[in-house]
Amino acid sequence: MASAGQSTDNGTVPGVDPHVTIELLSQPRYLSGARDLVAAVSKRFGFNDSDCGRISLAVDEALCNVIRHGYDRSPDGRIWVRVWPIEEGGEKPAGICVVIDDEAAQVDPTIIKGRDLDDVRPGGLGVYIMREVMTSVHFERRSGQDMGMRLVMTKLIDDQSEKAARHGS
Amino acid sequence: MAEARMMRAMRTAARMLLLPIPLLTMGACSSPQPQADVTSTVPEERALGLAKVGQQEDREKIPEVVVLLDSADPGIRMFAIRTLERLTGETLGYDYAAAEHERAEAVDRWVRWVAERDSSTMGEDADSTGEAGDASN
Repeated sequence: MASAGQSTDNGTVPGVDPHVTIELLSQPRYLSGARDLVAAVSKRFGFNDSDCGRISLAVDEALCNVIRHGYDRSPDGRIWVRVWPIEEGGEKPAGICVVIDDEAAQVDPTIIKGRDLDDVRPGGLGVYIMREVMTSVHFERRSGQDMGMRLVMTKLIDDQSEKAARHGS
Repeated sequence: MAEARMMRAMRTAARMLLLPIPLLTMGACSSPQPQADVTSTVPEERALGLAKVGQQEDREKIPEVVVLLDSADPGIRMFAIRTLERLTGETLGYDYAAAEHERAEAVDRWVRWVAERDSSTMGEDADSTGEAGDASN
């Protein structure tokens, strides 16, 4: 299995070909297929059922955000979901890296912020969920492209962070 | 593909050109903003409602929050247990991403927790009524 490296925390896409690629149109009817496939791959990487559910939730929220905010619900946008294992030299992957690309209008990544739960206002709840569920979440403009944003999310199987402890992972 | 990309670029440009118009007419004709309401059928409004319950530490709403632990939407379940944890300091072993049967057991524990809290509150009410009665004698 190719190494996905350890540089994904800062949003760098692994330097090897993805192990799984899904290309879908920006239509809600394809969400369940995409998230179920990522959850199934997560299971094979060694995540427990509960964490597979969390990864599936993060992917679902990310794709919903692309459809709603990126493509403004236009049904003909293209979305790519790519998956890599994160290898750290062990027999099994140490985690998963999920990269979601689109061709929607680019926005300043620094303005994409998840709200704190105390900041009760519409918008940003999906990003809050992603940050809550995954080990790292990073937005960036797709380099070398006029259009399109990239979301890089990782989750480690042995996540020792405070939020992981709260989840009982 | 190139044509579709061009169409999207044109739509984006058109949106940018039209941006000042909604800003000018916002007062006259704006789309309704989602309301914070735990009983709403709109997921975003339920999530906002849960956040508001937690923010206001509204313990009266705990039974309504417990109902949402059974939501089919994992995002809503996450907000619900986060709110209950904030209000009570407990999760009672509930995991919003756990298998359905495991969640059902934890929801039962929450239902019992609410029932016990209500009965103890009623007991306190009865005690205080009794004390008041004694004092009046």
